[in-house]
Amino acid sequence: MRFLLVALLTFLAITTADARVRIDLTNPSFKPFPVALPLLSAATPEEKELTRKISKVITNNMTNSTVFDVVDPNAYLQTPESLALTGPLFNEWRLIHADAVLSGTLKLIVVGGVEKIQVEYRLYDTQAERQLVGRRYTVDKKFWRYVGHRISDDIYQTMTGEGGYFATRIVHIGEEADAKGDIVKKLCVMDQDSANHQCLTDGSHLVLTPRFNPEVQKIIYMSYASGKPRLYLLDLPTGKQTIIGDFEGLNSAPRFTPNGKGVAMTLTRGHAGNSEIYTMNLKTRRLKRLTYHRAIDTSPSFEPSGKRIVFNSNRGGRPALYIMDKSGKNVKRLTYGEGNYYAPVWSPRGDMIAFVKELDGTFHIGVIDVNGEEERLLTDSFMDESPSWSPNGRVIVFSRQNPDKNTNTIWSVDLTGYNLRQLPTPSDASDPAWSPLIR
Amino acid sequence: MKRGIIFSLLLHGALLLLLAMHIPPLPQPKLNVIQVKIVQVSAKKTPKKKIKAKSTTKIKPVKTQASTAPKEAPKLKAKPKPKTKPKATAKMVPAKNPKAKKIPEPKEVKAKTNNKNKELAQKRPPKLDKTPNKKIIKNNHKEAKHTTKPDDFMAALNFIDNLKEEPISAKKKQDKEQPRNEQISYAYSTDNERALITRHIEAFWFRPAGLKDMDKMKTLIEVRLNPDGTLAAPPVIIKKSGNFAYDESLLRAVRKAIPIPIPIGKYDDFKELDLYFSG
Repeated sequence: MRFLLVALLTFLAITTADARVRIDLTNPSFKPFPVALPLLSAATPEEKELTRKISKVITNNMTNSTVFDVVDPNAYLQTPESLALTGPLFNEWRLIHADAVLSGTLKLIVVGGVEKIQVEYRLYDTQAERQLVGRRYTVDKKFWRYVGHRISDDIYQTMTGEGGYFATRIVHIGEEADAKGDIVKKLCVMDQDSANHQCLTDGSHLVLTPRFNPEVQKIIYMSYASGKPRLYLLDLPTGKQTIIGDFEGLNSAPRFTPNGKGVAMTLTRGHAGNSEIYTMNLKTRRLKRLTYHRAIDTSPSFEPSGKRIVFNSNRGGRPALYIMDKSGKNVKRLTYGEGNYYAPVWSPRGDMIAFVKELDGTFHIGVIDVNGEEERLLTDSFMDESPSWSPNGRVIVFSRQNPDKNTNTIWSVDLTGYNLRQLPTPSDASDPAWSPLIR
Repeated sequence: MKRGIIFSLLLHGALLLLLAMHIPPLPQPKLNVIQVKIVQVSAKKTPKKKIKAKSTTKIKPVKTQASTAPKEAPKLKAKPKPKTKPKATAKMVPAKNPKAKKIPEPKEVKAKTNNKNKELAQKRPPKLDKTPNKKIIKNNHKEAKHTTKPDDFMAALNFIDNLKEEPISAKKKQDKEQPRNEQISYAYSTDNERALITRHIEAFWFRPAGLKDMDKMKTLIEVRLNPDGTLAAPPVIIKKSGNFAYDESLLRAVRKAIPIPIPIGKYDDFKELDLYFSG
């Protein structure tokens, strides 16, 4: 009897369970997200002019990122005023295949005697018909570009799940001819979209290898002001410079540790011309030697977690990349490919290492994952060098030498190898370094 | 006595339950109906060899008498039988159609239902296809002006303090991950039928190249469909990937893929889909 009952119940359970179909999806279409970026709603002519300028900044950022495809504004059916007033008419935005649509208002307000811009925006998902993100920014009127970059970063982060890189600067060495016709090198800085270019030194001394603190807007760089290599620390927001010290035999770019409290660098001092890797605490100025090898060890770069360091060494016969613990132990070879590897930089995302590779007389910017697999060469030219990552680890900026003249220009390329483009600079420029996000 | 009463009560209860569930007693009688058809054919011409192959007791008496039959006939008969047998379930009537017919039919449906989408897709601005080109773009920043006044710069360095950031809360609540308790049994479907739906949805699933951990993302979305392939309910995320933006992009893909091409006559099997996204 019990058996009968159990059989009956199981029969019922099986016949009432939902029948489904399992569909496995593994091949997305590798396409950018289509977004609509209408102007913000504004009232006065002055506000409308600002709206147009900010919109240009956002559209330019989104298009350059290659992650987004900005739907042609001529196809927008709803006016910015209607958008801000009633919200999006989702049907119309779906009709022009926009996955997301931006809406907002811009107002000029006076706070404590200072004229400010107040931007309030929302980004809507046209398919789910709901708001994805919405913020209000209030900022001095003269910093209108910055508002555009912040909104760009918000859109990027909301749609991709990764941090943006638009509210950032790129510091570099500007190369100009002085009155005598000699080339002078200055420390210069500009926004990531080449706006607000500014030089911070006058060119009286040779400056080299600026590098950003990954946490705050501080730069460490080398200068030969005293005839010896001298390390400087520059605080960008205040413009204050401090000398860290003279370092005889300093021969590669010092790089910050991930927390910004120390630097890793290479010194040849006292090793019969052989270079070894050191770390230094910026507060105590105490040096700690990490490598003890007859071969050349140089170009250290920290993992974002601070646990490991990637560096360049020829201990295997020719220049290749190696990884060691921050203590200098557990050295493991990373690259085994043909050619010579130089200048490794660990991605802020942690998953990749960028490098320069020389193969048969051609130079490449390449990336390799932290296990030494999936090496990809992104560029090739007469001379590409000094790679530096965007803070979200998606774009690499580097300097390229012109084979005809001895001049340099700054270029950027996506991690994917696509979207190679030159960043306009007022003069020749080299040795770029990307800042962390400005917040 | 008591035992007998309890037993009969239980049985009656079970019977009532069965009736309430609208469950047909057993699907087997339908199988016999098919066999009747075969008897009709075999009455005209059936050789002995065939009968052995069938090895069913019913057919024997009929066929021993009809002796001469053309050689082609047995082949014709032999074919339909094995086809009907394995498929014999309660709802097999539409499934009888030969395969050759089935394949074009869902395609036609897809073409009809997607006309709208295709038309719109053609309107799409040509820019979309350009992006993967390795073209070198210069002068992207035409509007960028270079300021040279140090005052401006120093001022620019201080603006961080001047910027206020305030989040604006969303108007609507967002979907929450829902636990799923019921037992899952997957409906019968062919690879072709599933592949059609897979390809259809993947075409609407956009994923910019080079994002982090692309190969590690895994999300399960449950979809309930109407007979016309539209959504009977909003798609529900059963298992999140951990990346909000990724999951949102999948929901967008599902919504854009509407109407979903359900194989003809198989709505009952395909009304609930489990979409396993990875990559």
